[in-house]
Amino acid sequence: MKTKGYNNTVAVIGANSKAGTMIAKSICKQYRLLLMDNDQLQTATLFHEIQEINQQLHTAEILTCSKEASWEADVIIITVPLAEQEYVAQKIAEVSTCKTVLQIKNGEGQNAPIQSLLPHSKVVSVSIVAATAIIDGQDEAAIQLASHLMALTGLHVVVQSAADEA
Amino acid sequence: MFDVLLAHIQEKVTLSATDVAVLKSFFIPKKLRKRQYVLQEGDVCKYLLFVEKGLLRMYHVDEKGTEHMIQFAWEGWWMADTYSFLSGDVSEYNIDAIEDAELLMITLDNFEALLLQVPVMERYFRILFQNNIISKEKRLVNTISYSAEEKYTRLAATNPQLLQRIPQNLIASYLGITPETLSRIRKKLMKSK
Repeated sequence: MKTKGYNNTVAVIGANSKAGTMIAKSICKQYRLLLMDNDQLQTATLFHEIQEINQQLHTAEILTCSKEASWEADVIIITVPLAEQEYVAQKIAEVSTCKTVLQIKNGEGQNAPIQSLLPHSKVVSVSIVAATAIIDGQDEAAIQLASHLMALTGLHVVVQSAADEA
Repeated sequence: MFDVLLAHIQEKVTLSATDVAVLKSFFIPKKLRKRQYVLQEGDVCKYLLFVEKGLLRMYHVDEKGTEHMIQFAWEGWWMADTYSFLSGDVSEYNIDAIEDAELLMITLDNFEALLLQVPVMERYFRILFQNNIISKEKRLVNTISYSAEEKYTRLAATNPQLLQRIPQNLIASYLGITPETLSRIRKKLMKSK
């Protein structure tokens, strides 16, 4: 399959969540997507919606395992509920070395930082509050990538470290 | 996930447990599906690739759209457009998977850091690059000095696995002959057995 360049495969773990679905639909024209969620029927619906948005072949795939999806991906977006994020991080740790991992927090609640579980990944935390994505992380390139991805969703992007300095 | 790479390295140098842990932290594990690209002409080759499983090809496409095979890589082989990888200039080559593949990829920055943090890897890569130079010289001699049949028989003698796993049209391209010529040679050799 001729993909859109390389480095462009994104795994969305928890694709059926509100944030996962929004992100997947927003970035599907620029990135090849690996959609992963436990409810495969609902994921299939999302897959068909994405196929309608972007009618190119191989623009998205459904995977049934977060580790397999993360192994194949260049970028990993974790959009599962906060309580499940640590579990997912442990599961994908071995295959996410040196990859950018976006940890999405959408709405209320506190997510546990997963960087310590993924010591060799570039973890970026993204908190979605109303129409704003607040981005925080240590790796400059990963922050830029996360900002680009969030900008594609139409959210207003604020980089936390820059906001702190201001 | 690192079994083939570690075995390959430990054939040439000895790694401590700490070396292994450091080494693993520098590589990106990546699954690639058949026909999926890991490098396309016009992009910079950002990674040195090691094949844990599967089969890759590197090739150039000429102005007429004809593909010219440069190299194949399967389990235990490294692959990259070395010039593009080291210089940061765009590549003239494509690399894609002939079979579903599991790769370990390392960026230039991580490669340099690996050599600093695990000095024994300098020796490993020196041996690797020496072997690579020798094999490229042999390939050049094969290309300019031998008949089509000799090229094929020499390849069959040195890389029998390659003939079993790779489609005939790609082998013909690798040898710089047409598929029809390769087919004639194979028939002739079969008859003579």
